[in-house]
Amino acid sequence: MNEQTEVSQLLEAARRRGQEATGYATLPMGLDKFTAYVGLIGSALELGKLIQTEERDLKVIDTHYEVEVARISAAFREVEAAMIADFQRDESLKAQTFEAINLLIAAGQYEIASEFHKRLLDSFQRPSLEAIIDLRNAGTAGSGTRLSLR
Amino acid sequence: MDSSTVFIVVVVLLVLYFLMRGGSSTVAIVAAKPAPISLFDLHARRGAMTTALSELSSLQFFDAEDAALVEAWEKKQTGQIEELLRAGDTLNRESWRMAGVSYNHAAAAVDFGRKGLEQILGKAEPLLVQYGVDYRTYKVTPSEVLTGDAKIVQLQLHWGQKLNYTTPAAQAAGRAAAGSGSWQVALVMGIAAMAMAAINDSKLLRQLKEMEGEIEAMAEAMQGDVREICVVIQTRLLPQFDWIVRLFGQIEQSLQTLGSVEAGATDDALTHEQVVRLGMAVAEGKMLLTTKAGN
Repeated sequence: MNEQTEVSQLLEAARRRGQEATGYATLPMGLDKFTAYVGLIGSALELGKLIQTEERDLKVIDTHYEVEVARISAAFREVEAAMIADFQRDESLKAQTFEAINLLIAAGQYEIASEFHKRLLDSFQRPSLEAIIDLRNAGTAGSGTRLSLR
Repeated sequence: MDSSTVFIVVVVLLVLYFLMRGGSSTVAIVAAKPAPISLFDLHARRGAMTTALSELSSLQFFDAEDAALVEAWEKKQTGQIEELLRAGDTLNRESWRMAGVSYNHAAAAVDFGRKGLEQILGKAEPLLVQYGVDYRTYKVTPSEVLTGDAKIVQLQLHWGQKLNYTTPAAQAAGRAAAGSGSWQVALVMGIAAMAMAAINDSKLLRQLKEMEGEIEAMAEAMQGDVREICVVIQTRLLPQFDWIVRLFGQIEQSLQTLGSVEAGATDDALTHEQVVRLGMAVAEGKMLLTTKAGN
């Protein structure tokens, strides 16, 4: 009897030392079946829930990124349209001013022609490339990409 | 002379030879002057710019509607989906990198044109001073290089990769596997493991869908960048370059005409017109020298 108590005490002490060393409780032998059934039930419940919501979750993720892609596409269209508008305005201004300058030079009006020319050069004030890239980065923040000029 | 002395002499001679060779090439680099840039060189660079522009349209990006990917999704083949997504991510990054390279080549061509303009403006200025027109020189500063950063797309660790061996269920499974537990426990744990594998697959599908979305958003942004680079080249770099070429030709022609006229003679109406035109061309040239590629 004493011997049995001694063994039990030794086992208990060993279990305690194991718990102290690993930080979690060691499972008593008799609980094997119980924990196995609980684990199976838990897994079955989780699986059922996951299968039930799988299609819906995949659709939600798809829709989220569809919205993001549409937003990115719209941001680019805006930047491109602004650049094309700047270009058309500059080209038209340049063509008209040069035409006027050529007419003035042909008429010998050199000083007025020079003044026109000076105004033409001063009027080029389109956004810098850095500003366009900043606009691009702001519009596509959710894409995980970033451009920079160094 | 013994063999070791011969060896030392050979080594010393070789070292001297390489030092002298290195020294002379350094002198050659320092003494080298930048080669004069001609109108022909500029036209050749323009050709390279248009080639870079046409190459941009052939770049390929990730396509979520790809038949193989759609089929893999239908069959829920997680391994195949992951493989196709990773291939799509690699394709995106490579095409995006190529687009950046094309832009930087086009910007470098503009800088080359600005250098050429700087050279010819240097020739025009002394002549303008003779005619009473004073212009100061500007230095060409190189344009910035376009670079891109994209976040790394990766799957989070899933069940199979982060098993927790400290749970009671895992302990029971361990005992059953080691033969110290009952067969009923082993059977139940086997079924539980199958259920866990199915759970893991379902979770993995969600993660793969997230990954696909991220790659798709990235592809959209990268394709947008390619279109934007095309627009920048078409509406900014090429017009800037063409302007440089036009001025270069105009200044070259004015220099030839005015060079043959007696210095300071502006009485003749045609000469006066040439001086005014050259003055305007120099002013435009100065503006282009200080304008970096794309601005």
